[in-house]
Amino acid sequence: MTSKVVLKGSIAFIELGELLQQLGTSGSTGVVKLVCELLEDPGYIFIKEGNPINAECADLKGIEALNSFFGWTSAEFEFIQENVTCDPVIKKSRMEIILDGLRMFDDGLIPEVGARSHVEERGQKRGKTENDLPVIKGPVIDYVYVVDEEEFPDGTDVVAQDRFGNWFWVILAGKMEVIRILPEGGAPIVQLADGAYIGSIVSFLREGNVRSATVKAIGNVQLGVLDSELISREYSAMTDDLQSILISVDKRLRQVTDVCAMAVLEQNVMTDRLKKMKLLISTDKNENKCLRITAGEAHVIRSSPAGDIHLCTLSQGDFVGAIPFLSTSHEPYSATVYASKDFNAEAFDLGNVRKEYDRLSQTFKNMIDYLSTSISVTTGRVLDLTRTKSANAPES
Amino acid sequence: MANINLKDRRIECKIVYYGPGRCGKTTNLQYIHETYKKQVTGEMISIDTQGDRTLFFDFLPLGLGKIRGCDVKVQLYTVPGQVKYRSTRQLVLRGVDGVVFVADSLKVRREKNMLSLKDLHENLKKMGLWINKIPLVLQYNKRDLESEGLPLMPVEQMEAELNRQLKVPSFKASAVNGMGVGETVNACMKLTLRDLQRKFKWAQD
Repeated sequence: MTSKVVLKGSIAFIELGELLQQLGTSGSTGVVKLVCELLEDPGYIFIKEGNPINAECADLKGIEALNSFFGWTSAEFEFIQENVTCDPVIKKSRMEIILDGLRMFDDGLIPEVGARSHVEERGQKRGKTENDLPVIKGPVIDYVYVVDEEEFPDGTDVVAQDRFGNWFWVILAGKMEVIRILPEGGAPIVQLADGAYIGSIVSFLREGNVRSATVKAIGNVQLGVLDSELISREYSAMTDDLQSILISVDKRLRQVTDVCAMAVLEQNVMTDRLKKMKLLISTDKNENKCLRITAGEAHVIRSSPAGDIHLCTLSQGDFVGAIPFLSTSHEPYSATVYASKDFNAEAFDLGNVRKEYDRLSQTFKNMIDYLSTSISVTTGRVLDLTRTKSANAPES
Repeated sequence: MANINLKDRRIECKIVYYGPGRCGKTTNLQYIHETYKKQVTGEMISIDTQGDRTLFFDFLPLGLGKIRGCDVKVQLYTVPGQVKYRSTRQLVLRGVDGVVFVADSLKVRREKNMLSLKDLHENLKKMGLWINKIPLVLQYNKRDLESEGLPLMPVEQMEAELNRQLKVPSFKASAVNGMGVGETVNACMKLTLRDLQRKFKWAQD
């Protein structure tokens, strides 16, 4: 039997349990290769006549390796049809492996390695530093775009808010803190670690090079300078539709960062204006529509025990709704969208944009992924801050 | 939706036993596994999930006919009730073809039954399935406990509370001694196969 890839896809779409069932039903023989962008080593499952007989990933072998793959929730897979000659180390039946693997994952015995692990876990508080700041890590660094390396000592403001700067970096080693400065003072927003990007590619290319926040080195840091010309070329080659989506998402991040800064500085981020607006997207309905705003305003609102938090205001040219390659922890699943009276929008077909996204370079995909992770983490911090404030508020 | 295994000319469908914790789902499946040995293919997989067990085995229904010359194999599952077993529940419920809802007849479990039925409705909805469209049978289990003096809900009350809107076949049962177990699974398999035949639109008489 010659080796060839006969099936490939994403574990986010077809989960490992289902994949093993499918290969089992068809009695296939070959190797499943799993690649998770957050891990250095790929994983392999050796399948003979539909049954997993061995697995390996780095130092893990056999059932231990196979069980760990149930935590790889955002991996890509390939099934290579070929003869499998390794010894049958795994003796359990296919369904026992699947059901037990999922049980261990649900019991928390198998750690999740996926989108959610962008937020690093440290100490007792998940994803928080000693200062209560969440830490955002990026995906595995793609060195193709790194043209130089630079080191900065502890405390250096690598980027200063409102200043001009032409560089665009990725953190190779160390930690940095993002500080948004408002007239009322400076507010630490998040910390960044390996793989995180410094500088917004969208605003960098479209709005000149004015920095929107200060980024300070916490300890010594090593940064990779990215090839801005290459990135600029790829961005310019995108269709207007994809560019517009990215601009709109970048706008969200800026606004959510401002809301977060206000919450840090203990200013009011709640809204009570919802009654005057019409409900556009509700979290209850699981709607998958995407709209491009043609007139008026859309307000993204997140409910919390303390009240309704106004996360951002979107206007003409912006997008609301579900965008498949962006998971922002906003609408349609976690936030509600209200519209102004003069609001108008057109349904937007994401088919072509999705295909275009699939063709982007891994670095650009990483940047987009990082952008949506930043929005999710910053929104999460706003929720944490309002929750703490509400818990500490004196009873009336 | 059932899997069609073209290689073996076999249609594999999935029936899931759902219900509140300790209502007797596992006992039902253990009884079927023991009693209908000839129809069981392969071993029974039993996973110790907290508060309940997750069971699985393959079953070949007899006397229910073929679908266009294909044998029908039924995969029988129980699903863990605990909220945290989201991944297991998802895998088990994805592509489910028929459901047996096992309700506990004990009076003290009345609310648990209703919550679990609501939970089934929600979980099916997440999979794009509707409780009033999927082949479903109800089983009122533990009827034997009445003779031990334990307070049970009358079947009429359970019908009114659980089956008033669904209007699906329901069976009294005592899974520990097998009463009603065979009738329940047979009724569910018949409904499921009829539904598949209608979906495939190529049933054979």
